[in-house]
Amino acid sequence: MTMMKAIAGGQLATSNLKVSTYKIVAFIAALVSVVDCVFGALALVFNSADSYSVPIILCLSGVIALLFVFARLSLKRYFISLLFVAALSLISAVALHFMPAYIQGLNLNGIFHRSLFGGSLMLCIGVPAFCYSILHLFKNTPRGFDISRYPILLFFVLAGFAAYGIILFYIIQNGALEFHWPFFTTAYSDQYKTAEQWVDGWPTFSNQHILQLGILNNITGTLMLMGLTSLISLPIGVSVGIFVREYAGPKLGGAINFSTTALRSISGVILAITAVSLLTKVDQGTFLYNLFHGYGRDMDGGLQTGRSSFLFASVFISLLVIPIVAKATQEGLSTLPREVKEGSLALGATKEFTLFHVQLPWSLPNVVTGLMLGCAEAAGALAIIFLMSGSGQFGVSPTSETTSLAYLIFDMKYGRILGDANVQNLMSQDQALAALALLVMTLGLTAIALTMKRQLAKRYKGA
Amino acid sequence: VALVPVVALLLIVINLAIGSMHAIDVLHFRLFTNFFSPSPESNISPDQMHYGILPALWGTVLVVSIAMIIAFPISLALAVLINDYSKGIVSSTLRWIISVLGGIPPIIYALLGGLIYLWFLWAKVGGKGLTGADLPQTVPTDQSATILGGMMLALLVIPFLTPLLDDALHSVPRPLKEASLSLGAGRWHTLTSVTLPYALPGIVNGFLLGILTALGEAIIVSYTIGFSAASLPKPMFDILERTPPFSSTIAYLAGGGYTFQQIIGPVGKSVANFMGLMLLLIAFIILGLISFLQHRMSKRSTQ
Repeated sequence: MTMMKAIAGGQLATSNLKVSTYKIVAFIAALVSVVDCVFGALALVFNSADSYSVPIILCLSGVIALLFVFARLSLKRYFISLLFVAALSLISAVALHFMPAYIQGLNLNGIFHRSLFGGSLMLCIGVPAFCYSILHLFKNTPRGFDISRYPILLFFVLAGFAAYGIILFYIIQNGALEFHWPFFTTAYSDQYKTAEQWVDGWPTFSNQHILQLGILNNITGTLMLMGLTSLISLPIGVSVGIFVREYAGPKLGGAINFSTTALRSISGVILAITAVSLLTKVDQGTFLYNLFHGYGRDMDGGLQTGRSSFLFASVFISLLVIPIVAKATQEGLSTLPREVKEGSLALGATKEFTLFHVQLPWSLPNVVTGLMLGCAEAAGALAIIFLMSGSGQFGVSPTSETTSLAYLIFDMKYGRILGDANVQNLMSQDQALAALALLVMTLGLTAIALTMKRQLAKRYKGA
Repeated sequence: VALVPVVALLLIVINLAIGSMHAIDVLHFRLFTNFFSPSPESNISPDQMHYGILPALWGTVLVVSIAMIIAFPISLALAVLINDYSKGIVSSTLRWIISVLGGIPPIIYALLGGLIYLWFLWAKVGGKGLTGADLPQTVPTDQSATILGGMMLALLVIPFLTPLLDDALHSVPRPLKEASLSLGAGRWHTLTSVTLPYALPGIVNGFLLGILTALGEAIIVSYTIGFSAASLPKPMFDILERTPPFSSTIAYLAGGGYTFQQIIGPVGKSVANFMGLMLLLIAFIILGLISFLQHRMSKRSTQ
């Protein structure tokens, strides 16, 4: 044993210099490949970063080839994969060098900029090169192999988070730049009021244009949608959950479970078709028409009917929320320890008494969490209501015309085509601020609900 | 009261079926062979227009596959990172962040689609299909390409898909992993040869649910791709053309909106119902597959 060690030590001593240069080369290769990845991402974003791609890829190719040589010298093995990466990068550098700035072909509907190829090639080469250079930084040990696979994971994760980062950054930055407080405290109004004036003993009427820009009515509308939706979906969702969990047989329970999942996963547009076809079935002028379409009084006291009322819209939105609440209820019921339930039954309590005094109080926090998630869903749900909402300038009440922040953003961007053209003409510069308000609302609700859920999980474990 | 979901689902299906009768009566098999041309600018009356579901069907395939190709590796990497490569507070914080990101409403992505287009796609691939120059003015055309819709859709799918994959990876028995690790396999080796194969049914399950989510989304695709395509893209896989999927064509045809009311006749509305029915059918098929997979999984766990 000692002899073997001595021999190995002797060999190491002779090649000590080589080993240290080998590690240094591997380190340099890792650095270059990181630079390559960064510039690849930059080239995908900015066309002008394209000019750096050829020299960097060439440099990477050289370093990897050097690493191949040193790996051969110190480990006495050929690493074909290194040679492969080096050759690939050399070929791609040559190809990029002779590539024209704009490429068209294959009868495709577009003209591609060279940086698209440059950036993606740099990423495709840079990530494996980084992996291999880490592997050689650890001298090809199993631990090095393990660590060398991290960049693959990291690449995808960073790509995902970068996308969300861009979106959140854009909205927060622009929302903050546009921020002005009165925007939140005035209700949108774009209507004409008949003003009566007495001139020479005779009344004259003039049409006064009352224009206020703000999102107060949209915010209250969103809250109204959330409230009505939870009012409808709480009892139904909880009873669906209880029924499936406690009373239903496997067949009926399976059917109910299937339909809740299906309702959750079918398109909101399908619900929208149903809603719109229902809306067109009622005759104009009847009470039902007013109830379905929503009505409000304008400033002159005239009756204004809209496209659909809050009540009508929230019935359809709650079809999306009921599955969430039902699932949360089922989860809550299933976390109750069996002994507690059986203890209650053994003490002579009926099934109903156990349900209402033991099981439901236990699962209440779960239900509340589910309901909050459902509220966030209702605030963001647009697929159902974008065909049947309005600007909501005639007041917000359960029977008035639907409006919400999500719809407002939609209207600001596409109002000229699908909604209220005036909203787009007057308020389209405030898109980011409205988006920020919506984002704060939904993300806040979701965050609170999820934090609650986490705390709950901890408490159950402790109990 | 517990039967509300069942009844609602039945009513929706019946409503769609009744609504689509008219289209089937008028168009018969031309529904599948016709190309879709409800151009608002043409002077023909609404019922003389051609309606066909073929471009929308192909658009659905394209958009969903783009979205899943982008979203699936990212979600899988996130799930692996959460489950196997981090511990304690880091893992739970990551989990929390991703679930919170799931709360971003789709309209935000639709709003940002234009930005991404100007900032990324327009600089990289400029062309006829992207300018929308040859498209009717009444349809929002300032930004559009199938790939843009797919990209934005992928962002919606990721926070939805990651927890599902996370659950699938979490269900792998711990002793199995530890046995592999103690036999000298590294983390990566354990991941690729033990964890992923074991979790495969769960991963496929999550993948199918992700497809379902991508199928149903209407807002993003309507406003990053457009409402309707007149025909199939010329090279079939041209993702720089505009090939909107079912859901946005449905939104266009069902349009209770102010503008489309006059343009779309009863046949168009009925075609919307038919498309809804097709969408529902696809969703049911996928749900059936999912329940079959879950059945298989529960069987395996009892063995």
